[in-house]
Amino acid sequence: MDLYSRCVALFKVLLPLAALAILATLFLLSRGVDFTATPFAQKDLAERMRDQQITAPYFSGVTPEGDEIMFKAGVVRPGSKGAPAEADDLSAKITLVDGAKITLKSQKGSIDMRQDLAHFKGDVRITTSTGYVVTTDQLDTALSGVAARTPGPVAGTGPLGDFTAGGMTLKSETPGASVHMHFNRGVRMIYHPQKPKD
Amino acid sequence: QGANVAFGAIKADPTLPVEVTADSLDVDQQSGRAEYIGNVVVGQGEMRMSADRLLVIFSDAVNAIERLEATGDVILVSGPDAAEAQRAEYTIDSGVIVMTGDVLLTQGQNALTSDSMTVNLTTGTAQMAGRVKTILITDDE
Repeated sequence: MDLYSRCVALFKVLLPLAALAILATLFLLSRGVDFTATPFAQKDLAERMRDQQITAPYFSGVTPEGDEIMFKAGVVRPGSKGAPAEADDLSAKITLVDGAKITLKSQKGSIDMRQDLAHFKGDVRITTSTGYVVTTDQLDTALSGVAARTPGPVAGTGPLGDFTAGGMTLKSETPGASVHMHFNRGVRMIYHPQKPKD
Repeated sequence: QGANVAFGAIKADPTLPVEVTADSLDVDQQSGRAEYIGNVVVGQGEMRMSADRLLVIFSDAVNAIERLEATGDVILVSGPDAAEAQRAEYTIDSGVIVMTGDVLLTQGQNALTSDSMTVNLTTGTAQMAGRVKTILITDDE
């Protein structure tokens, strides 16, 4: 047996063993994972233990007239006995049967199924596909139909210019008729005509 | 027959901001049709127009208000002159107001009535048409 074949015989045994040894280190010598650090802060855990909450709930439905309404919220905490459920960053998207879209958004809110009422609170923004953006601080809307109302003054911009009004309602006069956005209790509008292109 | 009269003290600038105040504003979400209802006052520079209702005709092509249609005892005041009518249509870009329905124009002591009147705010002129009658008050002391 000359030197070359003896080396080959030797390596035929040594190399697989070396491979096995390297492969073994992959599982045996792992860096070890510490299971104690969980992603929740202690305060969060205590809070979650104290009251139940639903994260990112949403529910949607279609009204008899065919308008589609979808309510969404960041977090909803069930109210105590008799009190409606409290919600954070509540939003509603209404798609009317004729295609117009209306979205309502606010930082806080509450949803009362029994009284069929959703209450938006804090930096409420109403945007419509006809180009209106209205802001106010509170808005009440029905859950089962398109009927909203703001108790307080509103301000906004739209194709007609920038405006303020004493209050706003959003509903269709007769069921089946188109939805009207009605600003009442005094309206003031400023419209800036563009330069006539001549 | 028609009568040409001066209207309004200065040449109005149609690009001045238009301010509208009213009791209420109704916007139809489907067609985007907007109408002010209840003692509506439109103000632009020197010009003031008041009416019961004001319909806004919006042109999507140029994304601006095309014209305003005022109905219900419309009163237009510009400088020393005042005009009354039942209806008025104000085209903002051209600054032209067409008033129809027993128009009464008062200038100082003179009063003119007619069926219709076209006021051009930018040139400060007005043309009255249709049964124009002039009542001149001569001071006879």
